[in-house]
Amino acid sequence: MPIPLHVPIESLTPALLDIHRAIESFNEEFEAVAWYSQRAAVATDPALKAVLEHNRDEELEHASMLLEWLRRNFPQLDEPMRTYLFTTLPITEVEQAQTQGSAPAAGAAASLNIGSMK
Amino acid sequence: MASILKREFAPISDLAWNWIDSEAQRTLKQNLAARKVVDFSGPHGWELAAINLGRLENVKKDNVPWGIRQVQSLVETRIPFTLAQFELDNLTRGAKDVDNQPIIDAVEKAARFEDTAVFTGFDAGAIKGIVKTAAHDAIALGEPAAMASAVGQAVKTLITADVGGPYTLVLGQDEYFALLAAASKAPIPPYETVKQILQGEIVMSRVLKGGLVVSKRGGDFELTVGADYAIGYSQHDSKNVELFITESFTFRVIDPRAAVVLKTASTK
Repeated sequence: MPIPLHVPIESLTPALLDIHRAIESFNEEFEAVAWYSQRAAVATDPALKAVLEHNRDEELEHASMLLEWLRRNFPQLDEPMRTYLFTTLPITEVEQAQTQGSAPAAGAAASLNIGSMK
Repeated sequence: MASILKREFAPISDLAWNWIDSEAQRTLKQNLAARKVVDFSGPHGWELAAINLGRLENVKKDNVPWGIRQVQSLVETRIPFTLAQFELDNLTRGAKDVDNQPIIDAVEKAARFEDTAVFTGFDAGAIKGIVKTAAHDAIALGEPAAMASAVGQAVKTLITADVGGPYTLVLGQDEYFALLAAASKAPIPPYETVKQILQGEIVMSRVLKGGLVVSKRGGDFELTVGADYAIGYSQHDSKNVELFITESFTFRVIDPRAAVVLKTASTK
């Protein structure tokens, strides 16, 4: 189902409208992933099951491409993606671990921060 | 992840690291003079190996004409010093007079190296210092009471060369203290007179012999720092821990007209 606009379309910038389109497409890709996954799970013919799984994987590729487009064009998305993606800690602990990492213990400090004295 | 400093492998508490770092910072700020005078670019990180000089050299008119891009490599210093582990533990015990001399000695050495490179040069690192590149004839500094006159001439030289201010006087340690202590029959001490002429500051250098008047307008002298001063860890045994102070940097004079040397008998 499309995501409705909540304000008059004239009030939105072209950039924001593109982001909206990308988010809608991203939703549709994942919606298709859910459908293909469910149908593949119950398909009785092995050949049909393989086709459905193949199609599901294609949708995942499309969703990933859209997500990357959004990261590049929706600046607020970049930072949380860098925080959470491709980590191995429990997800709810990732942010805390990174916060601690940005304020390292004295033993790990890097510079005496002398810089310019002019 | 271990850094080039390898601090995480040292048998040193956070309390002791904080103490070591603060002693080093204090000593650097006390000793560094060039950074009070020249433009600072950086820190650009350990990855920076050279600065772009924006020119070609060895240009050949072969079948395919070619040239080599000119760069100036950074110099990386690493000065070791040793601290006693038992003495560092005394920090945790609450001691306030922990022996800091090894830190001070190494850090002073590091500061002197940078200041020497900036003021008088470091040939092996292709650094031409301000003294050797200054475009104007040197002016005799004279006795403390006459320093104001010498500084006045230097400022006149810079203004005549269209080098705007404000101006800074950098004095060697001996000359600085002599000026500071100089008495005068005039109501204003020579030190204050010199500051009025400069409309700027007087900076003491522990490595310079004589003095320099330089413009602080910016764009004339550039200290490029890759990794700024930091303390790292080398090794330890049951009694001692060996650390080092390191930095990477280079320096270049962009406009040699922006400095006038004030010479004494010991100026090289």
